[in-house]
Amino acid sequence: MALASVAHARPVHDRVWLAPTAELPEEGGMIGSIALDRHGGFDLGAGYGFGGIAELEFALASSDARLCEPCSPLERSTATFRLGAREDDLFEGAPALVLGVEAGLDAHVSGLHATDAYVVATRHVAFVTLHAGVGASATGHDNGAATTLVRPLGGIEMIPPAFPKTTLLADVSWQPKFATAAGAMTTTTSELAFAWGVRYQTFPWLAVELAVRHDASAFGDPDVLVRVTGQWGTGTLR
Amino acid sequence: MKHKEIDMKKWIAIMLASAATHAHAQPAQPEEPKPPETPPPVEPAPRGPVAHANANAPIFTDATRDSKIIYVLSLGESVWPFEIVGDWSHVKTAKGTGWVLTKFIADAAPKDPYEDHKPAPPPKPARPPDPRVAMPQVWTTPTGWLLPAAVLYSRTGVDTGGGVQSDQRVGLGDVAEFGVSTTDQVRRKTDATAVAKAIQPYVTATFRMGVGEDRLFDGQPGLVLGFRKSFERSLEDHQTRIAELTFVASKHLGKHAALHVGGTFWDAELQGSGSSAALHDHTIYAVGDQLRPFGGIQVEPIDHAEILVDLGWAPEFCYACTGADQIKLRPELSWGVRYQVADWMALESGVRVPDIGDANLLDAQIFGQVTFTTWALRHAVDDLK
Repeated sequence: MALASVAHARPVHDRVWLAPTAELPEEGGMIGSIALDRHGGFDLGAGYGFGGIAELEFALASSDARLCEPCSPLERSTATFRLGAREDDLFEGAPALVLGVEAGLDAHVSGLHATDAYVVATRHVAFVTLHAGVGASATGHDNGAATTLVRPLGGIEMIPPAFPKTTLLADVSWQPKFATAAGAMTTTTSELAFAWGVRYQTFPWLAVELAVRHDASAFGDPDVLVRVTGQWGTGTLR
Repeated sequence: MKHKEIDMKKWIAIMLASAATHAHAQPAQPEEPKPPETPPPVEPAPRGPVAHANANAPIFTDATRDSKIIYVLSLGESVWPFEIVGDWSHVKTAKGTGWVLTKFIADAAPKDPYEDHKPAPPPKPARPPDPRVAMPQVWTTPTGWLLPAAVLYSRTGVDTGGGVQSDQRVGLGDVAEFGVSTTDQVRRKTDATAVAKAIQPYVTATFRMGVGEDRLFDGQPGLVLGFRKSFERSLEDHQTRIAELTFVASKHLGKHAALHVGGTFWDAELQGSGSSAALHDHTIYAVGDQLRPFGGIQVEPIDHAEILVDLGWAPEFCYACTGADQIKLRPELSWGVRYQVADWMALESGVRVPDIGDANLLDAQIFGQVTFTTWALRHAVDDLK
């Protein structure tokens, strides 16, 4: 395979913070990220672009799902497949559109199931980027019925003209929450999460982000996270 | 005066004596140019491949250092090896024949002495580039396209449900195809309320035959009749078998889209403790329970990247169910992207919902596959002709 090359196209971010965007990596492009929070939770993610119209991403995370009570991070490995069209591909002025499905990789081991399906649109307007969509979140465990919720999701990014490498961002998403009582799984649901922060595009291929996350059940006790995202091209064999 | 006469006489006597002396000596013949010496005849250079001495190496009479040295090769001197025994080469040189250690000459292996004189074979015409292979499978459903003759096809994939699939095929004479595969589409559950789980590996063999697109008449779709059958599978004290007969038509819609439509006739059998059912048992099932339509569509919005969607069927066994609930055909929806990384390799990924009729999002699986196709066997067969 051709040697990996650093991507110099406009940086692609497939997530605002937790909320997905409709941006897809270039053909053969890869996106990788690593995040840490103040509780020691971490996220590792890597995505690969299929022909510029799809992305397959694998992630190992302990900072999105929660196992309560008391609530603590739940480590999960997931795979996400995203398929979509870029801005203006469908017609002039069309937003970028992505249909995504995220499924757990280790659900058959842990017995905790969480699958998300969403449709999200992204549109750049001047120095603001808007992301809006709707998602269906299904959670369940081996011995219980599934709970499926349909909820909106979205985010906003703003690049101040005076600071072209800096992006202010905020998003709203829904994250899996599993509740136990007396050692037995009682409920599974999705909980609202709100995150806001700053992204600094150090290089076209490298960004550093700092964000604060509030969960609905612990709004007054936010989490602080830092993330580094890189992207590069892998070329093709043609 | 007398003295002068005597001197004169003496002088004349001396002169006469000298003349007599010279008369006795052979008069010197004028030297004729000597004929040039005839050089010794030169032994013509031996025929065959030439090697060269890579050092000043002695030539022996025999293949042993104890034998007599005939002479010493000079660095770069040509030799013609015609025999090798152990570490020694029997060589001809311009000065004769003898033995030299093989390490002192290059290209010592004796070859056909007439090899250099064989006429060069005519250059082979350049092979045209191989056409792109039309895939025989969308995701879970077959297409109406067959693999070209002797083309090998291999697809391997995994999914988030822990399933592994593998499919190996070979084209037969451009009119048929044979393959062996493992699938995780066949599922079982212990009772009606349990979560269905895949039975794997489930090994099947497939034979398909058909007619290529536009072969019979313009606009004719590709038509393929296929048969897939499993080996008996034992799991949890139950034995299951499946067989599927398919007929599918595929048609390109322009350069970047294609449509696949077909029908399938399923058979499945469940035997085990407390279970006994078969789709062909018409006391339980109707013929209509075995028949299902299927189809798929593929679109290439960008070169080398196709979006594919298909709807197929797969059997689900229920051990503790009764009557017609023991074996059911479940609709399976799949969508994803095939990305042609190279002419011989494609990366594929997508989403598969094993029972779309249940609309259970938790059942959705993300899959990733890699597909290889190769014309190597076809080229080898063609080269033998």
